[in-house]
Amino acid sequence: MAYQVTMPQMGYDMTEGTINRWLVEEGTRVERGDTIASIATDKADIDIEAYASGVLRKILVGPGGRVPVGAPIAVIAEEDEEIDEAAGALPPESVSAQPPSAVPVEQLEAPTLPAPELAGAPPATPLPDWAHRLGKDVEAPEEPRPIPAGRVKASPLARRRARELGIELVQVRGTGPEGRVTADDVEAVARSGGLAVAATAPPGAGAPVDPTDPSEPVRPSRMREAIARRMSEANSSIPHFYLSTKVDVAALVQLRAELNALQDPGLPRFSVTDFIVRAMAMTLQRHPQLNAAHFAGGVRQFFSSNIALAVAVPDGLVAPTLRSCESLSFAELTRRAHDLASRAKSNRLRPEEMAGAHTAISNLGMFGINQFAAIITPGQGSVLAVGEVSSVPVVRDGQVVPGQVMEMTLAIDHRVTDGAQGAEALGYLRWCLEHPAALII
Amino acid sequence: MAELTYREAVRGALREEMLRDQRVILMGESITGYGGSYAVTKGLVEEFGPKRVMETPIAEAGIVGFAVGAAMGGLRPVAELMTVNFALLALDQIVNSAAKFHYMFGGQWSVPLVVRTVSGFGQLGPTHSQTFEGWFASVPGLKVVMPATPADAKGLLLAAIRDPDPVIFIEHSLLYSTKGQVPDDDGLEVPIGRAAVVREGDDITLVSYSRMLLQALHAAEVLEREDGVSCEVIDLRTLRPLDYPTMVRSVGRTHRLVVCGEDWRTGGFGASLLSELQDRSFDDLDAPIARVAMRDIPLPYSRRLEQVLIPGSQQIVDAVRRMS
Amino acid sequence: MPTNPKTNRTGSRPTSRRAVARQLPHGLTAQQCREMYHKMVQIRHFEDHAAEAYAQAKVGGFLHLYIGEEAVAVGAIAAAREDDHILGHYRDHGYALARGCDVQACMAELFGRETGICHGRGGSMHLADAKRHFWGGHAIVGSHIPIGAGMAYAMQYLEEPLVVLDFFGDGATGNGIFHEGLNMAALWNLPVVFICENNLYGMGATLAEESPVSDMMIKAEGYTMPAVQCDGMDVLSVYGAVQQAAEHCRSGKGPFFVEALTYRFRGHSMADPELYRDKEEVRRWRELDPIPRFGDFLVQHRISSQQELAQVNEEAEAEMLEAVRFADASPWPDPSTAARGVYANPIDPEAAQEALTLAADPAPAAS
Repeated sequence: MAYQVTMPQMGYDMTEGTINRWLVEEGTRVERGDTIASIATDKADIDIEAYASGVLRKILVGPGGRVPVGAPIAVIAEEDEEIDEAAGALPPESVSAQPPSAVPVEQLEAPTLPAPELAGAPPATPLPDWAHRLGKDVEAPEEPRPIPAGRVKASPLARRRARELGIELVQVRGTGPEGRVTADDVEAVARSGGLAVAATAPPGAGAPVDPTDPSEPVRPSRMREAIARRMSEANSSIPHFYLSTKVDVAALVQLRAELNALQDPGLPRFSVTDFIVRAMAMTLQRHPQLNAAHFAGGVRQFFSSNIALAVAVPDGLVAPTLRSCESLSFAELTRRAHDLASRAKSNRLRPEEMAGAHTAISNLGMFGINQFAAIITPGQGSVLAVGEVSSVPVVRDGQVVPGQVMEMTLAIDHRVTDGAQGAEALGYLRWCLEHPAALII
Repeated sequence: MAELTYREAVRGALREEMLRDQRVILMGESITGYGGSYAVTKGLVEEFGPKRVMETPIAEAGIVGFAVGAAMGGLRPVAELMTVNFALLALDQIVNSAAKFHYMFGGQWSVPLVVRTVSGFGQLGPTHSQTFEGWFASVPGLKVVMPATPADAKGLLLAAIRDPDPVIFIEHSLLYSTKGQVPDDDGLEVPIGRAAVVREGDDITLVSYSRMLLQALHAAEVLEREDGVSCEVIDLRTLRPLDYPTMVRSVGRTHRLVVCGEDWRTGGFGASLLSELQDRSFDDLDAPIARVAMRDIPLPYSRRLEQVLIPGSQQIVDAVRRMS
Repeated sequence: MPTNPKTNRTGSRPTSRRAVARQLPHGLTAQQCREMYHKMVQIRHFEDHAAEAYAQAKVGGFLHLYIGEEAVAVGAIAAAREDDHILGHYRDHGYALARGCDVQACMAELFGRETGICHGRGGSMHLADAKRHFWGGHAIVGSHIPIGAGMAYAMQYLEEPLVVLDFFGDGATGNGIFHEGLNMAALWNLPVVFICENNLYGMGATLAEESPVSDMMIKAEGYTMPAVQCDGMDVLSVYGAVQQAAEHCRSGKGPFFVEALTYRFRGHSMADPELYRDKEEVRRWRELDPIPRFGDFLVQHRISSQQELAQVNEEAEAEMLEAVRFADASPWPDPSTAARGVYANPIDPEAAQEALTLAADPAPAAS
């Protein structure tokens, strides 16, 4: 029976071999165990032997030929036996002498690159990033990979909590080492409602990027960077204290409904926030200790009620200033407020409209937030955080009746004023809102 | 319960198991007349005779190879290697013989062998002050036990002798004279492969073993008192197989972890533990896992140098403070 | 040892055969001699097919052939009780077959198949068969020398009348573990026969390059261990030496050292270009081939005829072809079983935790 002589494996690390010379000529009889050729591996020259007895009928690979282990190199057969000399083809029962590539041990073998790629042909798929660091023949990318700016340093747990709570990490002020956002920080933001609490990551500072991090890269706008910078500064430099109160706004809601029901084209459509701005304008006049802010030289008290109104915009948050609110009628104040908000959303505010306020109002009631606390903007002395109007049972004149309540939290710079004075001011603010008629005269 | 030293607890386990099982033999260098370098086997040759308590030549590889053969022949050998530094001479027998036979020979036989050895330091110089538990723990086929308390030393040694697999049982020279309550019941095992939460806490998890457990407990007290930080302290007891579930559960509550060991920082046991835990507990971590380990320096002889290099409770306290 | 059914078959000349057998050395019977010849031939053919399978890349890793040394394993193991313990080095196919291990399982082990004698976990260098007291090929040179001493201690301790045959090469005598093992065996008077196969080479190092003495038996002297040298190309010489050694050990006189002067006809491993020895040397040793030599002995002593010997060779060839077919057709180990058997008593802390949790729950009502 014809026997296919293959390039033998002569060592576990041998993958191909070269024929040095044949030690027997074609047509010579050989016995199993006879030395028939000398081959060269990467390590040495080795004589190889016949594993079959018969006539060396055909040499398929001559001296100098280099072939992989398992490739046919000769045929041994009986003298008169028919063989396909060119291919060294064999009857089916001899097919078990397979080259190693046919041995089904795929899972044990390291994957090898297909030959065309090794030969320098363009790969079918783009090379992975790491390939750029290997081999000189791979073009370096034109620019170094940009490190996404605004990458927030946060613990894995904080990231998980932020995902669960739907909070963007960039909004969270980190209290851990080097400003790392911790889970507590995220939860604090969640408790306070999320907005107006800004991030600390030094924007664009190039914090190292973990390429394996599954989070979405945040591409901050300049505004976001500004918010980040200012709020970071504020939270770390301003000693905040917080006062919270609940306001019975049933009368306010009633009055607002009546005013809006007038459908007077000369009047704007009033929102709850508009009433609060008006009330704040009056409070700043009545309680000037609140109309103050801390500066490098100390505390400065102001005369005008200049109030910043936080407006959520796609990029983040802006708080344009309503100036001299105390001198404007309720309708005029409201028209200006609406104008500012509208231009804020279309990014048409003038620079001077972004400054000059001494306090601010942020209302997240429309987002269903009950209560939260906000960070004071540097240059201001306080910030009022307003929650939603909720329907609750209230006791009025000894009777439980349906009522409407709104929670407010006033954050105050402790360097500007203290708790008792703040409480007085907040009390007045509440009184105004609970007696809305006073607001529209 | 009785109050015993760690040394007495180890000796007690050996003695009890020798009384219970005739197949148990001890072998080691100077373990008979001398009583053992750390006096653990004192008195045992008088009680059990030289056939069961064998004085060996100073030949660590030979001792372990011999013990492997004795185990294959049906005995339950407990080989003492005077210190873990000398165990390096026996590394081939431990790794290529004891750890491999059951798997490599297709499960035809196992090697019920205990290698007792000792970590520790105390002005012994660079060749005698090393900790290699990480090397042993990296070898599939070995079980590695490193008890911190007398009760665990006794219970785990009993479990180790009865186990059908090779167990590397690493004692600590600085623990031998520590005392603790040990159950009286003869033969009460502490199961291999189970960590113990030895102090409960909420803010941070300290994982340690052997002598470092005592350091971690001390650090936990300091942190509680001075910083109001509540530490959960875990004693691994067994380094292979390692009880990850207990650690993962703890980190799931505390979200912070410090791995404390005496091994070298590079490639030490804590490094692989840390790597696995960052994988398993990634989303529970609120800070990078901190590690207290030996600096990558041979431990020098001079007391002054040794003092600053050996990790202790202060390094643990510092690590915790850096985290929060 | 399993009886060869063929030996009871020939009824024509029983008387004359028995008469000859009485004159055989070492008290050997004709049947034992035929059995030894059969084993050597089996080993030769097994190795031949292992080499072919290796060349075809069906066998991987390292392959060390025992061709030329067959008389050592066969003579020594035949001289021992069939339950005496055997430990060998990595050139271990000979011990397995001499001890009667399943030929197909051995071949399948080389092929890395689940049907292998170690389920494909050990490979060529790590054959073992505990039920036949063959405790393995050991691939770290010398490592099994103290292990053999330890097993011998267990026999002594448990008062079992078994001895240990511990095979190693001349190369191992340069390793510290050799001396540690011999030292302990002598110190404690243990029933172990150390059998040094002196084949003149420690891999590619010549004896002169690796040892200050060319007779390995001299090294036993420092341990006051009796030692003999035998002709490792003569199965009867090996048989006689090991028989004497085993009796010595079994009678409680302590260890014994046997040096068998032998030669491997093939390279150290398949990858060996054999640059360190010349072909003339190999040719001269091949003239001492233990198989035809013992065949001549059998014929001269009328134990076997030439035809019978030819038949033994043919049967062995057929047996090995069948073993290769079996190995080739055998399944690969299931990758999902890769982790099985790392421990005899696997302790899984994850599972332990589950068990604890379950235990803590109130037991479900029996249904």
